[in-house]
Amino acid sequence: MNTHNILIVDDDLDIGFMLKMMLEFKGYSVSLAERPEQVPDILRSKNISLVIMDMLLSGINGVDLCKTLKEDKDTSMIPIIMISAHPFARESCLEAGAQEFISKPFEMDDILTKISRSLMANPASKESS
Amino acid sequence: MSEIAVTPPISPNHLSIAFDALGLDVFENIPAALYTCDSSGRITMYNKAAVELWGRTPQIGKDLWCGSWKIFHPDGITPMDFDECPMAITLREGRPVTDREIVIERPDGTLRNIHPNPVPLFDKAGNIKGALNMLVDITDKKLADEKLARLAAIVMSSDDAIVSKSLDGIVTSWNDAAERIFGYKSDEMIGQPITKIIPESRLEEEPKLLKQLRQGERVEHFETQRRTKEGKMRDVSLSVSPIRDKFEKVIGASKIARDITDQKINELMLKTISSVSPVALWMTDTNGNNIFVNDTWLTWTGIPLENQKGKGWMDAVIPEDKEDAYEKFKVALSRKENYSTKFRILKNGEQVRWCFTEGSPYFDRNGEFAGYAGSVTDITAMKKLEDRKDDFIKMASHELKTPITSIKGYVQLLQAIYAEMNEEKFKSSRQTVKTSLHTISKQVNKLTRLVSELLDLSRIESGRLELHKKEFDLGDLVEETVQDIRLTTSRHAIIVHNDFEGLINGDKDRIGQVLTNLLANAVKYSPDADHIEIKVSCQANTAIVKIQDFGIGIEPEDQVRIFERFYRVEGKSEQTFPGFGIGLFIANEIVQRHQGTISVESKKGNGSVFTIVLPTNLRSQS
Repeated sequence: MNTHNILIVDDDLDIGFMLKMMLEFKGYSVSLAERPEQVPDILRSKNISLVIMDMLLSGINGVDLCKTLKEDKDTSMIPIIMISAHPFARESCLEAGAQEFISKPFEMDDILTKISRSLMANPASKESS
Repeated sequence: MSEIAVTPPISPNHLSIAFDALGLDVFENIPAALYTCDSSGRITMYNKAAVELWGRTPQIGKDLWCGSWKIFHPDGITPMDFDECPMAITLREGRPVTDREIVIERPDGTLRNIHPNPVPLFDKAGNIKGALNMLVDITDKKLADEKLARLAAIVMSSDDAIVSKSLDGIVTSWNDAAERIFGYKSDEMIGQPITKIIPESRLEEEPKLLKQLRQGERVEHFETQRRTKEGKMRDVSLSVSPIRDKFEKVIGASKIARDITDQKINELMLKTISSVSPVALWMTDTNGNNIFVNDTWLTWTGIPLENQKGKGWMDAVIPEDKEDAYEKFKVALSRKENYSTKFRILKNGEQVRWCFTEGSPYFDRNGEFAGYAGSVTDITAMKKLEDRKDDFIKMASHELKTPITSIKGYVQLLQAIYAEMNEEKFKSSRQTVKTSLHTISKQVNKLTRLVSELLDLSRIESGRLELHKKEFDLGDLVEETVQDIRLTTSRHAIIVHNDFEGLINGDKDRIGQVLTNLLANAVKYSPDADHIEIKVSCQANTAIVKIQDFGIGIEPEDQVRIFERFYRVEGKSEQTFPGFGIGLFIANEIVQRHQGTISVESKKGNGSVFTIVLPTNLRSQS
């Protein structure tokens, strides 16, 4: 049973909910943020092991948010998986510090594999009790 | 003695009397060819000049009638029998023969034209005792006459006006071409001042020309205008040369006037078409060096003409494009093939234009390669549209992927649930299944709408957007559309004011599509507002629909462009409003096809009002 807390950041709620239900079905505990400005609070208040974030967010570019999280010592260790439908987004996402990149539309198995891989590669990821 | 010999004209008759009086010495040395024959035609006497003319010495008492080696008729080809020659006729008929010409051939083969003048000589009893012949060599005169006739023929058949005038400007000759060009017959001009054909504004030219002529100078290719008899102006190119007498004194002038009116018109036409052409034009020599660019290119590049020659035109091309542009030209030049390429040019250091150039080899009159001639088209607008189209395709693929991602994700989730064998877990997923199916349905609708928009765009672009018109109630349509939109928003109250009564003739589905688009936009772009107003009214044969939102509004510079194809309001805050950016373009097309208008009033931050005006008396036409 997975007990990791995963944060999904996506302003398209249809996709956000879909990911949330999918990961919950697979036993993860999931928080959903519709707006990027909610992210710092959630990271502070919840024991988040991994962030899945859409690249295109209203208000702030997902790439910029990824960089900001990676530069902050409190959040820099949290693995980030970026998602985008843009064909050339992979490089800029990985450059910004994302562990993985997933292009839309995605395969469920691919997401699950990349989540496990990121969690395993990161010793700091904590399982919540 | 000598006085008698040199006083012309002297007939042989006089000469015979003179020789009788003066003696043989005079006969021998006189510089005219003379000989005598006896009554039977035998040569009895000849002088030095005759021997010189014949090129041989005849045998006295043996040669008959003439001392020539051979004689011919005047054509110089048909041989003449000696007993046919004028001397023979004189002796036979006892009369002078002075109206014939003959050609003689000397032993060395040279031919001379001769005018013989035989006269009979009589004894005291009146019997013919012989004849005296004076041979006049007219070869040089004949050649001179022929030359003169040829020159006259050339002058008369010339396409250029050839005129001669005295040093005081009086016309002395006037050829056929002068008649044709200026309309005056030669008898109307000879004896008249040349100023008759000079327009008043150019009268000062004549004294200057005459002054140069008096100094013996030629004037060449002087372009001016002359007036015809009808008063029309002709453009002419004049070449004027002094005429000198045998003492080299200038006594007049010959003038050749070429009519260059048509040439001038052609020059003007070419110059005009070249300078007003919307495309730039260029020409090179055989080495590919530029020799001509038109005004359009000068305007585009801001580089003066003198700096465009050779490879100077390349200065306008931006550094990144220079090599490609020139290499392609070099390859084409080496193969004499057509050339085409695209490059960007600068004016005053700023990138101003995307250019497309095409050139082809051209050939001179002898078919020899003479260089390249070509044009440059400004494709900046086309490039911008291309860029916008590229952006559109990127954006469209992104927009299409979003619902597909959602649908695919939910389907995978449902498959995972279905595959779950645990009955307990399967039951607890009821809500997830319900949400998934609802979202899939919603996303399929969204996908359908996007695909429809793409189809509409394609139909509009190819002119195949068909309307199926019939009469319908616009008020009812507004109500129906609002009902549908209400289902999609829980945040906005949509308030309808309907003062319109009656029917309009149009495509109900298409007008409904326009209303849906405008209402969906109103919802989309006013996320923080709580209501939207829609008013339907009637004014002088028009139906007016106003849709007002209280959202983010539109900047003035965007207001004029939002109905353009592929135009989307740029900006970070709007980036995530989904859609293709073609909804308003399609709406505008549909309304225009109904002879209506669509417009917007907006203030950034204060919302927008979109107004549709449709005529109510639309006739049925689909």
